[in-house]
Amino acid sequence: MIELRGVRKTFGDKVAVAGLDLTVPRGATYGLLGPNGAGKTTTIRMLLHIIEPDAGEIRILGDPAQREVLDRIGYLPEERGVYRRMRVARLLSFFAETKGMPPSQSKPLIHEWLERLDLADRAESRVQELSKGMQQKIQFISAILHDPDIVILDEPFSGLDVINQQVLKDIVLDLKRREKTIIFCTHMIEQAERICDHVCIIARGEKVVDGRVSDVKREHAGNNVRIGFETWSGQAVEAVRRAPMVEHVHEHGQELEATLRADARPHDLLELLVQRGVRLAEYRPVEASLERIFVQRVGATPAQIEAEQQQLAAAAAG
Amino acid sequence: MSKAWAVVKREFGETTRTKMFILGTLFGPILILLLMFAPLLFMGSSFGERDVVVLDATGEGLGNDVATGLAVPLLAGDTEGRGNTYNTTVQTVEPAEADAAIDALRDRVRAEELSGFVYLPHGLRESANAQAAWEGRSAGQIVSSEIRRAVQQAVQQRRLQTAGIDPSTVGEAMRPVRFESRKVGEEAAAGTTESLMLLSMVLGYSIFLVVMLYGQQVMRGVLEEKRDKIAEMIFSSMRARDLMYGKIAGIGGAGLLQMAVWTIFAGLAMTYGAQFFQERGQNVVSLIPDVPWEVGAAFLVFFFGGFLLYSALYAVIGAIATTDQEANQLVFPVMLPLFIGFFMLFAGLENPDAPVFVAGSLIPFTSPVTMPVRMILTPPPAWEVALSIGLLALTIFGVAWGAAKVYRIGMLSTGKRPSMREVMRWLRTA
Repeated sequence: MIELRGVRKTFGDKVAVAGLDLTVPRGATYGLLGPNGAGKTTTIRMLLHIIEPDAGEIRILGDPAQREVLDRIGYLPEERGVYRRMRVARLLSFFAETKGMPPSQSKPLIHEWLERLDLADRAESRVQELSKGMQQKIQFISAILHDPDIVILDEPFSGLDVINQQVLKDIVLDLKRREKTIIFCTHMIEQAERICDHVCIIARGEKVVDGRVSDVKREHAGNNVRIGFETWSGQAVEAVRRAPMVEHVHEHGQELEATLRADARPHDLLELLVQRGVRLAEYRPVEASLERIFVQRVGATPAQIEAEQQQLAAAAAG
Repeated sequence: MSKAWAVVKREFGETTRTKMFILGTLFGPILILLLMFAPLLFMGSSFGERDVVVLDATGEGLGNDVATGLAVPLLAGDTEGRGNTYNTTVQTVEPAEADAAIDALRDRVRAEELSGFVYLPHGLRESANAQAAWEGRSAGQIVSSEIRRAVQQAVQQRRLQTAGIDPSTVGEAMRPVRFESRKVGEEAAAGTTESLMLLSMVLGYSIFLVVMLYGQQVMRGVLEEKRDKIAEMIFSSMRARDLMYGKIAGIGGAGLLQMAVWTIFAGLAMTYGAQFFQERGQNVVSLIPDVPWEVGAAFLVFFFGGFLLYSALYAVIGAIATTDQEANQLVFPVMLPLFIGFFMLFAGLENPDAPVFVAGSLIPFTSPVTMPVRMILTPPPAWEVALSIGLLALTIFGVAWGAAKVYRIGMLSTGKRPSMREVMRWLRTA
């Protein structure tokens, strides 16, 4: 469906995307994840011909990407942009026309969508008269109005209240049911984990991990157990830390998460703790979260990477 | 292509739907008409009856001659022979009593019994120092010039009589010679020099102003698309240059529509306006020049060409600026050639064959303003007009090509405004 091979893009001496390979299968809900500044938006812009890669190949729907294919893609950019003085219906009709859909075809669809998103009475309002949330919904409509095969959503939920987030999530799930290919770009890894079936995590312009979410998790399952004590005590925590099969320990308030050595079994630690007389309230092996996998592979949290990027940018500007 | 067309339609629609545009298109011509004819209307309305005393201290009856002169309508240049009507009373005084009489008359003027009085001092005919005077309630230009003419005529005729010369012989000898200046070959616009100059200024100024106004609208639109992040959305559907060209064409189309409405209106006004005023007994034919239709066509061609050229530059400013203030600072250097073209008009009005004016009408950055005016003042050979249009077209293509490159990169860049060097580098990239 979408294939990137060795795609590279630099701006001056800054490498935005360093030889990226990825494959988005047809009908996938594909999460392109990573901290801000990782190269997600640059990758998307190259997919859409907004900028051209310095090297590498991009194939969309089987062909080396041609401009004509853009009509079959819908795009919601991270930074929202609408003509504020235009009337809503006219704006949507214009965006549909830029995607090759004549006004006669888009007209009934516009009313359908406005109705669905509770904006039917706003068709003749000027965009600037709408609230921020409504404007976001208008832009969301403009990304999917022409019924594209591929929908690219860059941080679609940012700045939306919970109710509207849910409205848009329902639409995304609906698109998924209709086997549209969805590329979902976000730095909120946890959020993507719940929606996507495929992911690609990038950091510093390079791919960290990619594949089917279930496969990624299995590969990086590691040996994690969650431990809760009947009564929290330093002694009990120490007992876990000192256990020979434990690699490291994350404390989360009233419970612990311990990562075991690859050759250890969760059962071994349980036996040991019981032997030492630690009274347990909970003990269960846990799946690795994408966030945990990110930390494991990159050696830093997404937030740390972002801070690092910002420092680099500040140094470059200074 | 159809995508650029969507942009053209959007820009044209959004521009022509604004109140500013509708009002400007409808009332622009009315404004032009007012400018052309208002002076005549107001002039007509100011005529009236005046009670005037002629205070004659000359001792040789010149007062009666002045009164006779004032009885004939005298307004300079009015071929219909209209003017103020004067009810004159002649009051003869001894030179010694003149001052007292003047004071009395001033009191009567203040009391509004009189419009004013004319004072003819002793020795007015023979002395070079004696000075006649008009004192009135207001210092109206027309009244004062009518009275001056009556006084001058009376005194001059008396001088001729004293010298034994028949005034009618002199009048016949001094009758003005009819004279006309023409350029050989081309069919020129016809009319009085004043009316042609007025038309030239109106034309030159409208092109200058409209190119600037619509160019600025392109700039603001581009800046909006950059600042409000609309460009990225649109670039995901079409080439950057299609958006830029579509925007310029759409706004330019709106401008062209407005100019066409104005031109047609002006044409109608010139054809039927004269008739209208003639039927109401006002002869204004001399104020309305007869302009060949080519000038109207050239006016639209050069307006549109000038607009395309400058709006491409305006689009670049919009794309590299980050705020309105920054854009306004960048505007001046870009607009300088257009200003220069406008100032060249003055040289052209002095002497239409002035080398600077002729050169300006060929140079693409100034020709949009200067060439149409040159065509009115003294028609250049057809090949020069063709050359000017050709050069303009070539320049438009060159500038648009470069502008599109800078535009594409500028629209997506964030942060600081790029330096001149960076912009040059953008130009070199593919």
